Amino acid sequence: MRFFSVAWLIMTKDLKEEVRRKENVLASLFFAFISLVLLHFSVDEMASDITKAGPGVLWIIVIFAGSLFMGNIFRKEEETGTFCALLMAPADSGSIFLGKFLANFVFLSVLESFLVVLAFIFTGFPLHRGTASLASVFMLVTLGYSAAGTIISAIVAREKGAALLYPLLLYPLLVPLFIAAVSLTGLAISGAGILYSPWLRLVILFDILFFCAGLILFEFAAEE
Amino acid sequence: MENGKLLEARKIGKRFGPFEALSNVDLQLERGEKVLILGPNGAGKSTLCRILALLSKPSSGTLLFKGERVSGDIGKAYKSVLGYLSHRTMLYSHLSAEENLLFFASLHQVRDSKKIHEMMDAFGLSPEKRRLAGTMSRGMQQRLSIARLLLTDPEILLLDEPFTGLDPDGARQLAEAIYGQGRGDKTVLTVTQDLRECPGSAERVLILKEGRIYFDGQIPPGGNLESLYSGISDGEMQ
Repeated sequence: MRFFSVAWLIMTKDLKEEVRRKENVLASLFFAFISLVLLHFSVDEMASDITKAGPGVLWIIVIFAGSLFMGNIFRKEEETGTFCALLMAPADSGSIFLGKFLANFVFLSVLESFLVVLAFIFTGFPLHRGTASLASVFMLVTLGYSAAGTIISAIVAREKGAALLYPLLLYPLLVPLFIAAVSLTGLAISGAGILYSPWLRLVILFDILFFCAGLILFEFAAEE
Repeated sequence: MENGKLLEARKIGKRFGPFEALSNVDLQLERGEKVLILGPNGAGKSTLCRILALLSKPSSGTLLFKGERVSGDIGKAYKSVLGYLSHRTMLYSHLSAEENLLFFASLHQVRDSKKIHEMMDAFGLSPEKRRLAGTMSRGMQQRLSIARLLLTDPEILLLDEPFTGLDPDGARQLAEAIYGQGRGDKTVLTVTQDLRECPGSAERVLILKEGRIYFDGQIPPGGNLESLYSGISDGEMQ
């Protein structure tokens, strides 16, 4: 019980701070918005192919906008020394990981909802076909992305050049997840089922692997 | 408890790649003891303090709390009696003073909300309780940091250059809060390199140089730390 109450405490604190601080939230949302505006101006030429090009473009925006937010989730704590205060709390280190993971997951879910609605408005992204499948794909991919983003953020937080190291370490890890994400999104918006797709199994495996690794390895990832 | 020792570090070593920051450091702290750690830059003082605060793992050696190795449940019990203060504020700049204290109280399972208000009153923070920590002056932030530190009523206080960046009034207030009346039962370990900042109530001094202990002993009554320190720095090994 204490494990989850600490995680909840950290998640609510993080979200409250991020909303008040604004810089990470606005940077991510603004990047997503600008990217879609640019897509809108190029969409005429590929209008017939939006179901093919759309998923790839959407997930690229999610990767970059998400990492703008997640890359800072431990770095800010390290700068002020509050990371030390968290690590010194008489709590399981896994609960700190879980709290940060949940904060990232909530933010990414909001970002993706914003993005998908804007994509529908600007590019006519076919939301109406396979809505439930699409929502499932976004949720499952976001779980894996949040888990990997959180653990890598903790690993680089104390390093010099953390802002450079973060994408260098994170993006190669994400390649299989996002190849699967693009394929599954394509299937979902074309109305085909995703349940028996091997890509779905890959995403679930990725989620389990990085979530468990985060819970177990956070203690070592966070140490100097 | 083994021989009344509250905390014991045995043969602590720390390497950062080829650089040996600490080598075979032995340290024992008894309940209520006030200890100073002195040494020049790069001597390993902060590294030792961070190892004692469980913020850094030693490359070799063991840490014992009340005679038992610090890990697992003993580690949690040790953390629950530990307070750590450095020159960084360790506060959330976008949370108010009250929200900061509430967050740390919940994290440390301090359920008595009266305690938070007592701390804010004691450190003159009540009129500013809704103000964001990041908008406070350095002195006010330090007061809030001390309130955060003492909120959990820690048995052991580890202070890593706590006076850095404070004006004389702020430094006096911090020394009073930590070493003042009613704090006799606290075990306090203070790391500093500036002899002018040394609290007068410390009883024992430990001088580190190049990752090794050069001196560990009582401060002589009315003793002049400066002459002791310069003698050691010149190479007199004890």
